[in-house]
Amino acid sequence: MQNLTITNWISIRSKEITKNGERLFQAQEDSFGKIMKEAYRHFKVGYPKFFKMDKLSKLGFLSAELLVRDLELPYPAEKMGVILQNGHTTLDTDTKHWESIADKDNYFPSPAVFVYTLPNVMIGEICIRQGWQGENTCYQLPHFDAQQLEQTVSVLFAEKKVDCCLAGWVDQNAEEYSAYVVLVEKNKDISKDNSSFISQNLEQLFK
Amino acid sequence: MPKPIYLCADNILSSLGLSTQENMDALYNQYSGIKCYNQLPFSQVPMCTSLINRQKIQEHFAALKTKEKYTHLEKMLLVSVQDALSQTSISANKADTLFVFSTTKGNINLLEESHDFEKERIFLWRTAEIISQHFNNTNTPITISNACISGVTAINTAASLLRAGQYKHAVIMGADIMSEFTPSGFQSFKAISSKPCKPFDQERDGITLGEAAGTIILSTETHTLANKGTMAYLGGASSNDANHISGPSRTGDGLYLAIKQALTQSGKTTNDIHLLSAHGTATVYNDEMESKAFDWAGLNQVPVNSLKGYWGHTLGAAGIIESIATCHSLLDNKTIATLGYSKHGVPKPLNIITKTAEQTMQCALKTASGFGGSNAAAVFQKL
Repeated sequence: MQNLTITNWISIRSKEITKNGERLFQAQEDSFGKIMKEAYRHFKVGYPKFFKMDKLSKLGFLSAELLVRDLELPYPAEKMGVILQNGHTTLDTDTKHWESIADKDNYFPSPAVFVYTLPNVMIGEICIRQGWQGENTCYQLPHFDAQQLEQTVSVLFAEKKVDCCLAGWVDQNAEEYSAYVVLVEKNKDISKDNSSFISQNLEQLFK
Repeated sequence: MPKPIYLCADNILSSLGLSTQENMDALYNQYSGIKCYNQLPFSQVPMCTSLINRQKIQEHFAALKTKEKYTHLEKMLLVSVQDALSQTSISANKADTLFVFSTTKGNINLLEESHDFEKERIFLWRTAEIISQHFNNTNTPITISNACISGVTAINTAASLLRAGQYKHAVIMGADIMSEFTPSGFQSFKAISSKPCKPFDQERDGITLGEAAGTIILSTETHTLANKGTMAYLGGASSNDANHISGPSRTGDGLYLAIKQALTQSGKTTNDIHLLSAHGTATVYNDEMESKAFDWAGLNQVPVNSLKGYWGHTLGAAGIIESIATCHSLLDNKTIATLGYSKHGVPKPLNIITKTAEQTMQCALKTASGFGGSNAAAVFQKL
């Protein structure tokens, strides 16, 4: 039996950012784009590349950034994994790319848009920022699936492919968005109830 | 060596045919499925590409005698999975069988056309549901969209879950189709060659896109085997460059890490590898990066090929169909040439296969790299 612990968790939904059970931020703005910008400024992220990202990547990036900032993670880069689930894939950006090619008299596909039509690019953005080089996979599901997350992340620990893994659900489509992300570490007893990395606890945390 | 996971059956559906055998015959005869067109409904410019014969898919699909309505991509998957399943004794409808789907864009053409499918039909998880439900499987399928490493990652993920005892069998299917969406994007990157792609060649100047589907059935049990010999999956891994979202690493460090971890997982060293199936997209930077990673891993002497000159880059199907071809190459003890390669054009020396030849081989390494800085590797062995 592996001893895997959820050491930190974060959620971004309904204009609120909550970390480890504590509300960190409540947005004044209403639109998703403006909420992201407001949060970026509030937390003084200082990473101008953020503004080049598409909406999904911004949400994934910010979740990871706020989850691990101020943490000391003494693991080799190649043992840091990122496993994310997503439901609407990159439909928002896909539509933007399609609009740039649909009208043949106004045809302007852009590499800066097209690159974000792959959902795992948000994982790339997280890895670049954090310098992580381990296992990385983007799974597609109709909704946050705690059971599949537990399955797919646990095997990576069991096979010793990761020592630490950022895992969760990051989804966005137009004005709908939700991020439920945890940090999973091995042999870390933080003596809190419900901190064991099992699907029931994941469901409880993000109820 | 870790407990082997057996490759029971497979199917490749491409411009070169609708069965693995037809495809292997074409590969051994160095026959390419890439054709150059002055005009195509989905491209603004002349384009070379590898297209599936839709008429043939329709015929095979009709033989399934289903009343439901399916998209072109779903028909490809149904035909491919059905062919692979028909070779084994595995019951797709049992709770110990898992469906795994690899794709980059799935039914993306539904964004471009008017249609009467439900609006969820464009989502990738929905495609996996549609297919697994057709085969009466009630498990939640696993769907992976991880750019060009999706196929190799799907195999790695499925095998890990089988090894962990979660399931006994996995039906791993991959597909992507040609529509306006993808070529226009790669054209905007100026990443598409005006000629059939030339992996690792001095004159390489970009990719050729292609459409394909493929299915691999993995099992923990030997009695399910349909193949002419016993092939096993040993281990694999993925990694990230943590460098750039669209450009490959300048040093090859990410791919090197994936190779190193895949070998560790398999209990193998570079000396055990007899065949290397590269990603080899034929962009200037990708092939350069791969040569550095292979050099770093000590794989310079290992016979290596890229199969992109036959099928083009088939995106979500690539890792699956290229792994299948690599396994059959081991079973047949026959190497597959790198079509399009003539003059060495990457910074590090590589032992690139230039013609079909009889050769005794046991163990192969498959690699892939893609957007988002992702890399993956997997090791297969003939038992």
